[in-house]
Amino acid sequence: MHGRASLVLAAILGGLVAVTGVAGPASAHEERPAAFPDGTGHRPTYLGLDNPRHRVVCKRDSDDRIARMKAGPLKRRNTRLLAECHYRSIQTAINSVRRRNTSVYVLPGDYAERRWATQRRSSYCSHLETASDDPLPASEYIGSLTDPDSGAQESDPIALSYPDQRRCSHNLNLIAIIGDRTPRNDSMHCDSRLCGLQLVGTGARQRAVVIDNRFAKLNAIRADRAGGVYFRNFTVQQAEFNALYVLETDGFVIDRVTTRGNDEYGILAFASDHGLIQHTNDYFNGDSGIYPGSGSDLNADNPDFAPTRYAIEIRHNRSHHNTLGYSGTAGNSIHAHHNEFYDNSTGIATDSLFPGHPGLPQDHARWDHNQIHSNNQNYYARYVDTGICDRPMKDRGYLHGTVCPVIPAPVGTGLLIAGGNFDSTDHNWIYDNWRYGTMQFWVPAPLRDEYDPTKLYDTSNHNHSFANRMGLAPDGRVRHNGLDFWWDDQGVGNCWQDNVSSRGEPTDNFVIDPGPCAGGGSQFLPGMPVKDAGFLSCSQYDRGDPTWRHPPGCEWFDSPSRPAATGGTSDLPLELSAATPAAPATPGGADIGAGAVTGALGVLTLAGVTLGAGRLGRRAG
Amino acid sequence: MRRAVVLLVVVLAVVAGAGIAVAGDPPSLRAEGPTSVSGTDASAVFTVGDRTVRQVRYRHRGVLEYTFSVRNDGRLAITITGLHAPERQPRLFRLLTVAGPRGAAEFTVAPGASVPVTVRLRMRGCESLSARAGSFATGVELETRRARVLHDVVRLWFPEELHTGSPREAFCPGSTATSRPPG
Repeated sequence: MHGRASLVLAAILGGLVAVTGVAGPASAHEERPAAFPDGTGHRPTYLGLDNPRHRVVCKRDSDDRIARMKAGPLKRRNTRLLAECHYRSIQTAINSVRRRNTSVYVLPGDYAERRWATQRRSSYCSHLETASDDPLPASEYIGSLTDPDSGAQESDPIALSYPDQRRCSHNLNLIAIIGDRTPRNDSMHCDSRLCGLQLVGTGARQRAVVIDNRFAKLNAIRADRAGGVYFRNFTVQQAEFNALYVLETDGFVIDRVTTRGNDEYGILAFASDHGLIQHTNDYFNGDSGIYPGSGSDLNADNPDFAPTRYAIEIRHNRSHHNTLGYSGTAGNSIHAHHNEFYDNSTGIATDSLFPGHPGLPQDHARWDHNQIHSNNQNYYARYVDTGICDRPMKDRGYLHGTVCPVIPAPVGTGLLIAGGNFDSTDHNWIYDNWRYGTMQFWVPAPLRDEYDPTKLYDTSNHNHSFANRMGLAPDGRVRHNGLDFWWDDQGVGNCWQDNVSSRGEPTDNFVIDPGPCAGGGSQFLPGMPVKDAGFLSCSQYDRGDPTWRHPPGCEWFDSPSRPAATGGTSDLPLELSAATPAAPATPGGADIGAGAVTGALGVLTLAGVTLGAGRLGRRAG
Repeated sequence: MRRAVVLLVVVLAVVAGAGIAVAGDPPSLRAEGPTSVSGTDASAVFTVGDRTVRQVRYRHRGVLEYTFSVRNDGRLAITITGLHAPERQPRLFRLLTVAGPRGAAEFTVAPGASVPVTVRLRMRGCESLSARAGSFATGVELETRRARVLHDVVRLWFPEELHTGSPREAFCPGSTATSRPPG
């Protein structure tokens, strides 16, 4: 697939690149090394509120909350379920499940799961670094929540082997659904009584049931090798890593769930297949609202633009007021459609930038019929630069709008493909993104720890962007993007075709016309300089280090100004706008309805980029 | 006799002027290829924009040896006596030493000549790195001496920007709690 083109390029540019290396260590996303399921699972279906196999969980005030519900079938069902309630803890109810396909009905209430949040660990689980019966290889040991320099006697790795994850399931997780009861065989299939588990809030709204981790554990909910799991109708919040984490799971649905106020991710699905994420509401997350990373790499060897099938479908979600609305390192075989990604720093990002993700380089995602707009939130200026993100996590105001970006993102960008292949961006409304509508650039393979010289140019190929409405809202309003399309002129087979724009013709920075999709798209041109997208400089961003919050040469964290009708295809800085009031001194000052805030004056020129050669108004094809 | 004195004064003046001119010129050192590295499992070079980057695989607490040529474009021989302590070390590297031919800690580059130079850097810091940051080492400051009496600090930009990155997710066996964002 990518290899043939890469071989040609490598041969032509042999003098450009000197590469040495051997296979690198394989570690996962701050996790044990993950592998893809074999794809024999299936997406589960919702069993409703009358599954005869069920458990009921309630709180002391559930009866009052039910009493306040609007009269009707749902209230009657809740009332009947209340009479069956035997559990105060969701995890305790899960632990009591004896048969597959059981529903755990969670009645209206707030669930902090104190028993599991504060449970004393066994000696074994307190000394996993040295005493584990199933340790990860030393080279795959990742992190420790306990600083060894502190003198603490316990060890608390971030990455546990699957057997240890199962044995010590609350080291890192408030609620754990661990499905593979035979961890020492070769299969990661779910083969336990927890397969097909459904965790269902029974309230009238997602906020009727709130699972509040309060940063007690790294993850609020973990579904690990839990094929058939179904999450529906609740809110989960305040996790350092993930509110809702699905790992190595073949068959899952996340439906009508709100995730909010997490240091990193709202929903994170990793190395999973046959997934569906729908009707969720995800906000105030320091990385992304929805992260379908390392999706099952079903199309890794597929040389065609059309995928064989998708691993995860993402539809009808709202992801907003995050650093990224959607992100996916190695977000392979993902189909995201009819979603709204708005008021983030960047709306959608997929990439091949970070090592340790199975399935790199990223390929075969499709984003269509989404609204990707108004992604201009500068959380770097508002919360990192003001010191709010230096406070203890609980004191940052995550539930009131504080977002502490973990990763660097180009503020003001609708959709970013950083080293993807065979991705389709089509039939979307992409508007009011003040830097770029979309941005695509090549990521050199060594940056993801891939040193095979034939793979140096194996990203940013065969991506199609067509039939998008740029700068136009569905209701016809004109909301210009800064520049509709930014591309570094790299890669083969890329095309932009049949897109319309608020400015008549889409604006871009292309030096060379990539040509129509049917004609094969962009070609490799020896000697064509690579535009600097800024990621090299910005990759040094480290929010925890004051000296690296604004790496030299990185302009991604400058707030772009509201674009004018003439567009941004100039090598001059855009006209500077008046700065809005300074960042709030207290956390949670975001007015989520106020739209984008420009916390600092910005310029749009990128180092090494000459946009003057670009042309206004291109319609390829 | 008088003419001889005048001539001597003129000659001295010219020599002094030339000496002042030479002394006033900053030492001119330039790094160039060929380059090589050791002390890492893997390395590759690529170009983005006007930047040439050598990516090296992070090896915790390993010592990277980066070798390149240094050319003296000035008119006086320059003796390199060591590294000048930088105000700020790169995020994932610590500059250790500089060495000339055959590992000499102090070495001289004649005018118009080039010599191979090796800079040693320790890869460290991943245990305290938050986020998925990377790090560049782009050059060194060298303590130099010319004509026995002229001492300068010369900034030398590497022929390539050394980069290692994302150890949090790549390979940081010594990572600790602080390798996660604080909180």
